[in-house]
Amino acid sequence: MADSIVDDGILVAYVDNQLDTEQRELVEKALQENENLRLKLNRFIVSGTLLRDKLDVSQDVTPDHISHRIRMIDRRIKNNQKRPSLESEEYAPFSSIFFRPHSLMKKRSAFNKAPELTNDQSLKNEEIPIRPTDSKPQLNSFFSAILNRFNTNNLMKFGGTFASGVFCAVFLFDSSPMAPLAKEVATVSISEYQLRGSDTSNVKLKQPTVVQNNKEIPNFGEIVENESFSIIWVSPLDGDFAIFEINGDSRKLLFSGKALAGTFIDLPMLVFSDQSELKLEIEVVNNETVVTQKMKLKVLAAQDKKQL
Amino acid sequence: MQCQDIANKVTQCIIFCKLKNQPYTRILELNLTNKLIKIWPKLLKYARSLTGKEHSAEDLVMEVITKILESTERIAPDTNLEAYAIRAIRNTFFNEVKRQQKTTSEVNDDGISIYDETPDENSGKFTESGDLNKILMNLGTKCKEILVLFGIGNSYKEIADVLDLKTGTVMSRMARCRDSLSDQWEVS
Repeated sequence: MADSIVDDGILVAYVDNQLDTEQRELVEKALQENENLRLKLNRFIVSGTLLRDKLDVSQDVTPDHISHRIRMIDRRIKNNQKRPSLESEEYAPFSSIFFRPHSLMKKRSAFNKAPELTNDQSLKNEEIPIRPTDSKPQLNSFFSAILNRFNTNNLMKFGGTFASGVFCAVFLFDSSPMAPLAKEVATVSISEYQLRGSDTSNVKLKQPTVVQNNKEIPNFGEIVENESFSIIWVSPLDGDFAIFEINGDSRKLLFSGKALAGTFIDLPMLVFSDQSELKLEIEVVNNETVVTQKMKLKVLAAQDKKQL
Repeated sequence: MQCQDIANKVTQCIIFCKLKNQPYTRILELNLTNKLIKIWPKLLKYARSLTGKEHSAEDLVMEVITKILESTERIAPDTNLEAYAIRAIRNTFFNEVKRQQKTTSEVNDDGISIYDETPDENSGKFTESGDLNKILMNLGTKCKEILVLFGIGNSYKEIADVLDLKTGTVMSRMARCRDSLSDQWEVS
């Protein structure tokens, strides 16, 4: 009976140890009864041994020159990926300055020379010089010379240079007059974040997260007491950071240190007990900006977790 | 550090990569390169069974490794890299065969490349199992593939995954091919 179920496929799988216990027992029973099956079995054993012996790669080691080649390929690919193209987001702020589209330049050239010109040239932007000297009204005075020299482009350049010079000069003499002013100028509050400082536009905030039992717990989530957890936080600024636990009106310092913008701050594991809620405050401070990020988590007792 | 803490740290790394909008497989990149180096002999043996030539096989494997390293984002952390790479080798090879078929008439109807007709017996380890390789070349691509995959240490399930077949089909094909192999081995 059994040998009718045991075909060659099952027999070869038996030889190669690819069957479960139940199937193996069935094959063994059939083998006891059928001489023909035993002959086939021997053939499969021989061919299997032959294949494993001749094609075995367990002792083969990758040659050094191949390992080196693979690592070089990997390095080349990584280097290529790290270098952003001119169109990528990383270069976007610069591309708008240095890589002005040609069409825009044409429009600007037309704008610079516009109302005074009445000849046919005004209709052919390509043939017109960007800043034609004869396009300005001829005023025989000192101011006309200045006006001729200071067109829109120049004004922007000189204005920018002058403003940056003044800005640097203040800090060269004394940075204190600007600092308190700066902190009062911009106070931005976005939900649980607080940004204070003169330059908050470039601050890229990421929500801090808690990880416990291999699970990501967002703000207002629940953590379990007496089980270790860690805080994942990417600093938005270069500066000094401090992490506090808020308890009523008081703040207890948990960690502090130096942080670099965009880098992951590796914090030690924490365990909390005997409290129903955990409030955390992360603060990063540098000379210009203060960023405060807050988290609130509900602490579940271990019994509650079991019930859940 | 306890196991749970390590698990938390790994999750931390993955979430960090998410926050930074970077593919989290980057964490495993170094590991990936090392894994590819480790499985190189297996990949080469399989590629050699397809191409029949040492140098072509080496080029084929290197091409696939480059493709894998270029698209690490596509590889999930739990991917069986060996099966993935073998499948990539297979696809790359047969695509090349098809391309050759379109451009030349030197590929026979069985879908076997011109490589198969001139096995390179004077190169490296290929000659160590020269007799077996000669026999394998005569068995046809389907048998050759399944026997080589088994010989280099894959289970039937892994073979089924690589060749996109059912395990039952692998078993019956294996039996048929092993029969043919035994016949030819006895003759030789």
